[in-house]
Amino acid sequence: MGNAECPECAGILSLAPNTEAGEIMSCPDCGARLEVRSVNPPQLAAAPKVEEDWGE
Amino acid sequence: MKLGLCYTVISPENKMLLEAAEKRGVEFVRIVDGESVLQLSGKPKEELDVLLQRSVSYSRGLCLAYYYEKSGCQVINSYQAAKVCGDKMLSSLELASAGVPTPKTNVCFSPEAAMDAAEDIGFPIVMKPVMGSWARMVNRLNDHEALSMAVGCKEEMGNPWQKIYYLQEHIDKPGRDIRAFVVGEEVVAAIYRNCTKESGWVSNASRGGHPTECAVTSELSELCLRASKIAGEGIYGVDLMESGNGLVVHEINHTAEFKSCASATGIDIAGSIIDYAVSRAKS
Repeated sequence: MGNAECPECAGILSLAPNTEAGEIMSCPDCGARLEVRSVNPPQLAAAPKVEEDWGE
Repeated sequence: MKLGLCYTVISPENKMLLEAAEKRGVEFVRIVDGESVLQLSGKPKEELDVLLQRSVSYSRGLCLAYYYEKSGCQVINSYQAAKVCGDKMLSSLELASAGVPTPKTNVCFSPEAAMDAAEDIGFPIVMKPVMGSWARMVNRLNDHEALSMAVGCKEEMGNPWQKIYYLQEHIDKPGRDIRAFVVGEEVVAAIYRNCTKESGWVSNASRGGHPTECAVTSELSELCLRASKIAGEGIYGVDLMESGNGLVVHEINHTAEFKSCASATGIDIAGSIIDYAVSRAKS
């Protein structure tokens, strides 16, 4: 899948081959919660804030 | 047969559902709630037989469930199910009305009434937001002073929903609760959610509760199916506690997470959900 840069700390994350756009992951370097914006090219952004009405 | 999966983000559960659908060769459409435009005088862009509504946002989920149902699509879980399960007052009221054992619960709207409501139940009590999940802002309050402070904090909040006081009897559970997973007419798996140092007195997996397998006994199964009937047939995570008087149901989740349940039990919950959705499309 390739590598993507963490928008918070510029660390490099390696994306697994089955990564999906919209997936949430954590940066192993700074711990930031990130959302995969696109897989081709691999691109990350800060994950959406957890809202008060979020849940299961 | 065309199946839709509506989501806010790709959670581990949603990823498992996508993989299970792909494995079964089910035609699948992704609907990202944040990107959706609902044309109220028109039809949805995609004609779907069944929509799995798994928005993590309760408000978006309600809007989307209503919209797709109106277009003639079967939505799992339905608008009515989401409405009842996502509002703790409605679900507690429905559980009590259906004769399902559930902790004693009082609801009121002012700090003064909250004191009376707590007295009626007896301390310690548990105060929860009527809307919300993952044990956020859930407090165990041991006395009047603690309740007064917690109520004072809520009164300062801007959100009027936080000023609905939902006060519940505290169940002295044995360091764990139970999450059972209902798919249609079957309880497919259950786990104990064990309290840990990290989770404290709550046991939610999202707060660090440790999952271990729980046997699906006939008693557990019968109670979960009876409880989930308050929301109609669908896919639910039923939360129960072991009280001195037997099992009590305290919550029913309509977009239940199942990663912990699947890993602790080895049950293919995502596969069961997709098979169920396909069967509903054919029914």
